[in-house]
Amino acid sequence: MKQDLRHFIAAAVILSLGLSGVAVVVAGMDRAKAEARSFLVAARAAAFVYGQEQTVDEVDEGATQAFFEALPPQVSGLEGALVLRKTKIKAHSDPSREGTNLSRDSLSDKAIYDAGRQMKSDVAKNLEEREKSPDLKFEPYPESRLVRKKGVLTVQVPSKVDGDYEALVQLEGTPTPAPRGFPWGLLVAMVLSIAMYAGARRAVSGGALVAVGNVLLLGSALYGGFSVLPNWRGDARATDGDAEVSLVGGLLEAGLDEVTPPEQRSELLYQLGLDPRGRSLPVLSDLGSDGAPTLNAEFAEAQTKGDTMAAIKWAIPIGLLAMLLFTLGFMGLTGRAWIELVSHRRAYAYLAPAMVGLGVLVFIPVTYGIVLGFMNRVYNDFQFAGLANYVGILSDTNIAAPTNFYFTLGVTIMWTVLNVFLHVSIGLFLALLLNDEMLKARGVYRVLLIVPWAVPNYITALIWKQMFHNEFGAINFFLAGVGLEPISWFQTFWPAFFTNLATNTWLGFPFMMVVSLGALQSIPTDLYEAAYVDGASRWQRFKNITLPLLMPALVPAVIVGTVWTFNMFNIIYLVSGGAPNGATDILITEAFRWAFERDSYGYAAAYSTIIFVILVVFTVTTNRLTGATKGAFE
Amino acid sequence: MSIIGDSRPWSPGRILKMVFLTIMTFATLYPVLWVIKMALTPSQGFDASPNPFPTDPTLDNFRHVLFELPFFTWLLNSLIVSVVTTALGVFLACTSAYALSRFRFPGRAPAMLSFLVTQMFPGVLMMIPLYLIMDTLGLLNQLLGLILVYSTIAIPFCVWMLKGYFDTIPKELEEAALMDGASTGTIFWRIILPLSLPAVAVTALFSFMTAWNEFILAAVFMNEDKYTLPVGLKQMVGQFATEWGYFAAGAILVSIPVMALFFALQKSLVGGLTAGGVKG
Repeated sequence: MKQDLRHFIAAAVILSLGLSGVAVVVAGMDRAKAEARSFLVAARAAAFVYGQEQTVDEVDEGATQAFFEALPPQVSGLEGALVLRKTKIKAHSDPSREGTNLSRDSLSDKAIYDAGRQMKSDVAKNLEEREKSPDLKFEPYPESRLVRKKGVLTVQVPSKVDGDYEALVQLEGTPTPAPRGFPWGLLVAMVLSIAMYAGARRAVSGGALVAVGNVLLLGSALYGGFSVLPNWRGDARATDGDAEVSLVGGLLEAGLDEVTPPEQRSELLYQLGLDPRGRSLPVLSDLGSDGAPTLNAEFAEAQTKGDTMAAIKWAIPIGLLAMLLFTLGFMGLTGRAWIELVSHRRAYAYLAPAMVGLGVLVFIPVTYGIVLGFMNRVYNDFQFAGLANYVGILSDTNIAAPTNFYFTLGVTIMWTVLNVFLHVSIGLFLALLLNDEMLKARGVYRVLLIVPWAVPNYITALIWKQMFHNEFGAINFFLAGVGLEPISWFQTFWPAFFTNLATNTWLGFPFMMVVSLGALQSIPTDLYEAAYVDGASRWQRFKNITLPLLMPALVPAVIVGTVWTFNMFNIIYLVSGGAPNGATDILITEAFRWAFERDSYGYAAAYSTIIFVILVVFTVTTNRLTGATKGAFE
Repeated sequence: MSIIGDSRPWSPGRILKMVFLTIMTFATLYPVLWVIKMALTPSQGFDASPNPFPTDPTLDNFRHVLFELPFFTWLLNSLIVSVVTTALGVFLACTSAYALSRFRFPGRAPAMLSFLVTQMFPGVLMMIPLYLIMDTLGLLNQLLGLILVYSTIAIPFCVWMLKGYFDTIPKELEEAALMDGASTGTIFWRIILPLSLPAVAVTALFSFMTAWNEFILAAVFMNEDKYTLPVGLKQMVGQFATEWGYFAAGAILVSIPVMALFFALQKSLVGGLTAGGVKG
């Protein structure tokens, strides 16, 4: 009777607590960003002051030192500041250290020095990139470094002196931005919706009541997403914005104004206010009529829009989840699921840790990867591209080109079939020879023949590649020794394919040998003896006893071996490297090249998804046909 | 003693077998011998002569690798990562496999399928998302991060293998113990696990190798101070000039622990890998 009310309350609580939880986490991140911003802005201002002191004659020597001394009341939580040029401290919040060199013995000094070197090279790299694509808007200080350690925030900004970024400004301290509070509106919505649901129960029941409950939940979710959360976050951000305006005002008074020529002021404010990641609009707009900076209206508007989108992105799934739980609960399904969970709790407890690990480190990345297959990267942003990547891959019918999908697929299938065939036949043959208790030194052979399995495969690959070297490789010396022409192994397709095949055969047969050997040893000898007494020939015994009894062990091994070989990245990548011209690449190395060499991650993700689908179809089909894992599911 | 075939150890058939096996063994070991030769030869060039035995052996390359490179740092990192991965992977695989083998519960088949399916995910698909996740969790450039990733890579195969092996252990044993008042935990630790030692050993070997040999993820996730052995070793193979003598010496040092484990466990390897499959 009261059951449905309880389910509704549970759903409403999950909804509001879930959303508040997300809000609190997001607020924490906002707060951390705000902390960093006040230091970043001050550090940029100091870098500018120091730069002016060095390059402009009228600015006093010691302007930076004076600026530092005036800083503490402006930047809350500031504990230390310094300007470093090469290894010399040019200004310091503690005047006694001004003019001294960094100490080689001090770890913190060394860290500052290293940061300076790193930033200098980052700036150089950034400038280079900028020259390559001039239409891109690059952020001016991407090289700033923010480090948070045990509550102390350290901000480092490179400073340009005489056209070179060999100086840096470092600020250190424990900033305290405004606290965030709690979005109480969500709890109000929760209480209201519960009261309304309780009221509705008096009027309606059954399907209508489910509908009312769902509408109430959806309404609360949308109210939270469109109104409570963005407004609450916006208020906090407005406080941050005001704090930044007053901070910059303070910095101007503290000496920034004195050293800034009037024509540079608006550009400077623009630079100070830029977002550290260069993604959004500058926070501050040009100087107002009274000479003070103001908040950029465009920026505030874009931020509100962004906040609403972010809140909706969370509110909708959480709302749907609450609705699902409520509906299932109403139908009495959650109770049953709970009973199942409790009655099998031991099994689930045993299984849970591995599943959680797989979930976080395998399934989430893979899902993410699959989603990226529908995206395209435009500079640093992913944009939805629909099926374009798949169409691009599958509709290219220029089959003769080595980077064509169907060409690569053909090579991959040939590669897999030949490898697995060689692994199984060599492995099985050796196992049959070794499965003879009377054979002398059997253990020695067995141990030595599994050595290739024990050698890390990247080492194998590098060694074999060198053995196939045109001039210095042992294989060509052998060929010369028996009077044959040396072969340029990596110039044409078949020899290059052969190098991969030889390497992988070498390292793959021991696995099949060991599997076969184990299976052979488990076949009872009396079966053979009975067949022998009945007059069966050696071949008949092999065909009618050995092979059928080997199958249960071999088939799963072949399936696993096929999947491994299909995705055998290291050998192809390190031995032939796809030579000539990517012709010997298999699908997995081709996907890797799209991602990391041709810089087209969406395309690579689509490629990988296709590989995954091929393998799943293969496994499911062979499983159906052979019943390889049937026993396992019983 | 079988009634089939020749009972003399030196029958012509067996001698033929031994000749063939000797040739195969030599062919298999040829590249390995050659690496040993390079490691013992002072020059850093790649030796081209097909003779696989060293002519003028010295241990200089080993001395250089051991004492002039941060070899012991890499070794320590690799050891920590591999040993903890093995312990964690085997433990989690054992409990999961036991649940899948002994209990019937809703979601069992999907769970088994999900372990199987992970074997088919192309690593390339996961690399960038995994990097972002590790970054979010603050696990980049942390040995713990590598340990967690390697364990999850190793677990699925281990679960399937162990589950197959657990399936072959008769249920009657457990039922008898239950009658005697043993708890599920006791049954698992005192009966199932000791009986499954060969399979557990193989699982451990497999997890250890996964962690010990992996280099792409380690190269992407770790900075210079936290390199593992494979990443350190790979650095010696340059695009143009490779110090082959050092590389060969390093390769031998890296391979020795895995070889030792293989030799120690080879008996279990033969039984452990297949027992589950044979019962099927």
